[in-house]
Amino acid sequence: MPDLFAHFASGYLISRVSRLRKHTALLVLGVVLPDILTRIPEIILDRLLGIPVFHFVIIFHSPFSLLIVSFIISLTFELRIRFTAFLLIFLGSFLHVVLDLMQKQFGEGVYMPYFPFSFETFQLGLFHFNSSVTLFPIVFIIVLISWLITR
Amino acid sequence: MWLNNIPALVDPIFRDKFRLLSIALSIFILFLLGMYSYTVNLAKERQLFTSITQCISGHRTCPDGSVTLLAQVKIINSTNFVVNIRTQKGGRWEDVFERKYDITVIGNIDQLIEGYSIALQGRFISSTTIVLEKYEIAGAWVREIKYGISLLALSLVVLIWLQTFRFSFRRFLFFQNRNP
Repeated sequence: MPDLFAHFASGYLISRVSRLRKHTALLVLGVVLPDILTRIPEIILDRLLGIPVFHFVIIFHSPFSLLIVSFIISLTFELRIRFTAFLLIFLGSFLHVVLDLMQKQFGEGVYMPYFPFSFETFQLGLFHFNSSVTLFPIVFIIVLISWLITR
Repeated sequence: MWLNNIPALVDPIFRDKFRLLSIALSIFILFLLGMYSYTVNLAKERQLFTSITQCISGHRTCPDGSVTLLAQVKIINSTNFVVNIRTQKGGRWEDVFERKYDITVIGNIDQLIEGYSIALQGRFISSTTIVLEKYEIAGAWVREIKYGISLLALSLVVLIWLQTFRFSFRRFLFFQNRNP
């Protein structure tokens, strides 16, 4: 996966569009959501405690599951912004999955974009999965500048 | 704004009437999907690990084509190196590599250090020998930097979130602050 800051930046920069600016929180939550639901349980339960949850939590990198997650989260919002929350959280998480599918992992990809209809994994192989670490300083500066200009 | 208009078709499921029931049902569906993925993928993974274990122990013919494996370097020689191959999943490195069988990998890797874990792609030419095609070594530091950067991103999300919303425990709802 690209690091979480790269994902955050993708959502934050889109939210700088004036019509979306007041919904920044929803969009940035969406773009980090798949990793919150997949990586945190994976790191704590699988890697540290040895409880094999990876195959369970990997569903949170498939659009179908994220649609349901976005729906659940949106129901915790006041009615006035509930549908907006659903759309933007799902849009953010979908963007996350698209970015992850663009990367190149060693061997076969691990993400199943068509789940639960297919278990086929897929990757476009456009950039190495660790390349976002190298780009972090540039991405950080871009986010900082966009924050200074649009705050 | 167009974003605020709920299409009539989906309007009922976003209403308050069955909100908690919808949340509970959706969580149950996610649980079922998770179990489905877990069961199918675990079976596939076990099948792969079993075939690799049987291959390196000489009980079964090794796969014909290229295989991708995770291995730990044991000994480095001038034209090859010896590894233990991962045949299990788990949190502890000590448990996941099959240490009964040493596998010789033909091929050179620069800056290889004994004890390193590497991802390698290659072809078995016998149950104890692999010809290296591709490899990747990721230092642990990359992962640690990624964690650090990710924590920064998470902190920013929390900060933006706290500025924008407040949560009412009584009503179990997020409300947007007046001036986010």
